[in-house]
Formats: sequence, C-alpha cells, structure tokens
Amino acid sequence: MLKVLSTICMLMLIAIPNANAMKIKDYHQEIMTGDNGKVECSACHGDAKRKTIPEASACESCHGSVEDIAEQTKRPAGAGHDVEPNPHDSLHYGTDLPCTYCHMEHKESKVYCNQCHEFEYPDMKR
Amino acid sequence: MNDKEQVSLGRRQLLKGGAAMAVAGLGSSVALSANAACVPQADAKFDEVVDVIVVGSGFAGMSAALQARENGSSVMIIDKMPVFGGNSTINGGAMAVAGSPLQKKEGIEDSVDVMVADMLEAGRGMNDVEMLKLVCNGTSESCDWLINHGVEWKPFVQHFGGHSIPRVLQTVQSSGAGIIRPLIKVAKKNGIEMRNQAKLEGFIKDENGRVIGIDVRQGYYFPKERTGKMIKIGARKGVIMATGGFGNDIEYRQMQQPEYTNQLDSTNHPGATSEALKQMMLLGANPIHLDQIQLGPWASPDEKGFGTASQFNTIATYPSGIVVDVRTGERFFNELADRKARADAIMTRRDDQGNPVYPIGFTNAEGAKDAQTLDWGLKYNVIKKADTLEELAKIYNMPAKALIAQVERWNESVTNGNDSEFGRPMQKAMLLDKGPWYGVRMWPKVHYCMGGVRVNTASEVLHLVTNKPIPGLYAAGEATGGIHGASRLGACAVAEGVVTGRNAGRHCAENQAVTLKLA
Repeated sequence: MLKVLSTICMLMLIAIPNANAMKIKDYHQEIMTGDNGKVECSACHGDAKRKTIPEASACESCHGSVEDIAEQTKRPAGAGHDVEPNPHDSLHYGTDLPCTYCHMEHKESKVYCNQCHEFEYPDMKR
Repeated sequence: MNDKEQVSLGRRQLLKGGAAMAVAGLGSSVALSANAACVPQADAKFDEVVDVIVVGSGFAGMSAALQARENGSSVMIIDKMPVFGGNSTINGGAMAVAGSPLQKKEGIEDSVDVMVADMLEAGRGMNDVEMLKLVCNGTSESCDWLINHGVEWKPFVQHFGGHSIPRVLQTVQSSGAGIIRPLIKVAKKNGIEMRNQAKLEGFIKDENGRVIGIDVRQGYYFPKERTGKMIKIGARKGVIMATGGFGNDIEYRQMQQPEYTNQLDSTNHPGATSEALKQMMLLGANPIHLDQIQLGPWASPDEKGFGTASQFNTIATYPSGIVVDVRTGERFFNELADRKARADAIMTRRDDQGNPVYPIGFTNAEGAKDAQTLDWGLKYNVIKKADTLEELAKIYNMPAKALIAQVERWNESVTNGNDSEFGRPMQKAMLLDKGPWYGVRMWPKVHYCMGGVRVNTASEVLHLVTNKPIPGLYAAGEATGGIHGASRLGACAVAEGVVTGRNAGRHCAENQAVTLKLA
C-alpha cells in the first residue's frame, strides 16, 4: 500500500512541472503544438534540460534578427514624448538585451526598462 | 489546408531546425563562490585564454578594455548582466574636466590643482591624494580620447554642486549611454570579445600567487544563481576588476550603514551588488571606506531610481532654481553644496514622527530650457507645472506669501551676486522673475560607493597585509576605494572611471605574460 501511495506521489511530482510547461501563451499555442497534440518543448529549449532558459536564437528562428524586431517597433520620425521609446533599440542598451528578460513564455511577461521607467506598451502581449 | 496553416507549418519546421542551434549549456549546480578565490591551481587548464580579462563593462571596464587593446593585448570583457554598461549607461553622462576647450571658450580659468582642491574639500580630507591627482590630471586627455572614440558633448559647460567653478561636460544624450554605446561599438570593431550573462565566481592563481584567470558562470541569468555553466578563462597578463559598487546590495550596504534600509531607494541598476568585491577581499585585497556610501540629493520619491527628476534637478533646479521647505516656503541650504551636504540637509526635513517631509525644488521655463527630461517628467507627473508662484504654492500646499517673499529675497541675492542666506556660488545663478514654474518633490537615494579596494597608481590591487600588489590583479572605477573620500563630487565618477580604467588597461597590457594551457 505504501509503495502504491509513494508511486502515486512520485507520479504527481513528475506531472506538476509538465503541467506548468504546458502553460504557454495562446498566440504560441498553434505553432508550438506538435502533430501529436502536445507542446513541443524542444521548439524553444532544444535538447537542453527542462527549465533551461532559451537563448535568443530560439526566438530569432521565427521572429527574425534583433535588428528586424527593432525595425518593427521603431518610433515614427519626429515622434514626441507621447510615443514611448523603442523597447528593442534602447538608448542605454541598443539591441543587446536578450528576449527572455522581458518575454516569458510560462509566466507573465514584464518590461526590463520599467525597473527604472514607467513605459506603457499596451500592445505588448503579457 | 489554408494559407495560414501552411505558413504555420512552414514556420514550425523552420523553428524545429532553428532549435538545434539553441541548445543551451546544462546548468551547473555547484556554487564555487565561498572558497574558490584562494585555491592555487598550478596546472590549471583553461577553456579559453586571452591576455587581459576585464570584469564589468561600465566606464572603467570599457576604458580599460579599449586601452589594453590599443596597447596590443587580446581582451575579453565579461558582464554578469544581460546588458552592458552597468550604472554607467543609465546615469547622466556628465564628466568633470579640468581645463577643457569649452571652459576656455566661456572664459573660465581652471586647473588640475583647483579640481583636486574641490574634491579634497568635498571628501573632507579623507581622499587618497595620489589617486585623486592621477584622476584630475588625466581628465583633459581622457576627454579628447572619448571624443576620438565617438563621444559628443553638449556645447556648454555646467556648474555642478561642490565644484568651485563650472567644469562639467555632458553627453548630448544626457546619459552615460552617450559614452558606453560608442565605446562598445569601437570595442567590437577592434576585436574585443564582449560577453554578457557571464559572472565571475572566483579567481585562479598559479603557484606563485599570481592571478592567472577566473572561474566564470557563462549563460548566467541574473539573478538566478544556478543558471549557466562553469568555465575557466585564463588571463596571460592579468584581470582588471571594473565591477562597480554595491549600492543596490541592500544587505551588504546595511552592514556598513544600518540606516540605509530597503526604505531608501537607489539610483543603481539591480546588479550593483557586492560579490566581486568580496571575491577580491578573499584574495587579500584591502577594503577602504566601505561605509562611505553616497546619497544622490537630486532624486525624487515620486518615481523609481534615477528617473527624470535627477537630471532635471541637476541641470535646472540646482543651478538655476531654489529648493524650499514645503512647510515654510523658505530655502534651508546651499543648493550648490556638495552632494553629502545637500543630502544631509534634505534628510533633516521630517515631521514629529520622523517621516520625510519632501522639500520642493523649482525653477522657471528659462531655468529649465536645457532639461531634456522635463517633458518626460511632466508626462509621468514627477515634475509639475504652474503658471504662477501662487499656483505652485497651491499644488504643493506651501504658504504662498512666504514663498513669494523667498523668491524676492533670492532675486536680490542674484542681483547682488552674493547669496547672503546660504553662501551659494553665484556664477550661473539667474533671476526667478517670471513663470511658468516647474516643481518637483525631492528625497535622496543611494547612488555611489566611495569605498572599494585599495589600489596604487599603476591600478594594481594592494594586499591587506603586505600593502604590495597582488600580482595579476588590477582594479578601476567605483570598485576602488579612497579617491573621493567622504563625498564624491558630481561628474567625477565618469572622470574616475575613464581615467583609472585606461590606467589599469595600460599597466595590465604592459605586464609580463605567463604561458597558460588550454584544456
């Protein structure tokens, strides 16, 4: 009986991280689900073990280079103070900040700049 | 299959292929930091070897790396953060220079001796005079060096608190990023390896006690201590520590100054912590003045960190406006005193329970004309605009009559060229005779560590017991202690970082190389 119980506990322990890993952003749901209907962890994590934080190159394979991304969020020429700065090409950091410091797949995304600033990026998917 | 599905499938295939490149290193779960510093490794084998390793990528680190490279060494910079530049790329980008062409243009007489005297006075005589002279003596040449590396200064010279005369240059961006970004660009062009997310965990010494490399946690995801994997990087000529201060290490700063609790905000980036300093101390480095921690007197409690008010107050309120006690509408200190005097004065403003009563700094449109952060400050409601002094008094609940009387007294002082109330230097003082007015609430924030490891004029880190250099170990910038004594003057950290960084780079590049083995 004890053995059965501990086996159930073990199974639950194994199941929990899997359940977390399954929680992905809806906009990634389709593209990251394999033919078997399961989320393909390797899409971002490659062969690395679970919980390893992906490198920017994983994002770039779909989203393009950091320069492409910066171009997409460029401020219009002559924009005033009512337009927030380009988060992907910052005065302080250029394009150096890896994606994963703002964009989180398994929890709410956050804005790295807002450790100091109060920028509002209403279009950012959190 | 519709078009969208085809796109998706194609993208996913692409993604699957791309993922192979994204294999990250396995996280090592071994933390080395507590004792690794003192382990000699006679036959150490390294994953990578360069001449010079620079730890940190702020003013000191970038300057050290570039100078070492220009003197013929191969150089690698590591930084534990995801981004380069530490505090240096998020500050005001102001550099004190003794005898700049801009001073000459404005007819301001300056010299290295006057700058040394100003810094000694603010430092309350606690300064390491040899290092202080080295810094001041190098400002003019380093200013030219920065210009040659792509830095652009505003076309006027500013008067910062505690300096007896205007001698401060500021980047056109009003940010240290105006120095860091150009230096990074040149560094990459010159073949300097720049590695972010790479954290120093300990030093590697040879049998003679010379520092020959470091243990590095590569792929580190700040602040998760078990991320990344451990590698060994060898340094044939030496390791330069440009690791900054510990202003945002609340636990460690409170050991030095128990009153600097988490209730006191900091202008520093989250990586301004003490572990690199501790590793140097484990090697025998001599910590100097660690309890001398500077508060920035220009910050506002109405925003996080350095924010918009710090710049606004530095360039507008302090030189061109006044600061008053909200309860009386009256001034209570010399607004151009050094940072310690100003921060101490502001922090005397408390109610019966000891809670802060935030003073108000303000100037008018003319005084704020050069303040690039004004519009951002207004947008975030940190800076407030009033058309009349009565309206300003109303916004902040100040006694209007007393405020107006104070402004009149101030204007008399400006006309007389003499601040009879608080003895403020009046070279750049201006009449506050018309609105609109811009005001901001003020309260100091932890800004800079005057303390750090003791170095000699060759930027070698000195041993606590022998007072002789620890072979192969150099330090520059905020990581070093003693140059500023009890209070650093504004714009002197950029001066210190660039001048001592280059000094360290030059000396390290000249050091005799040892032969190291690759694994």
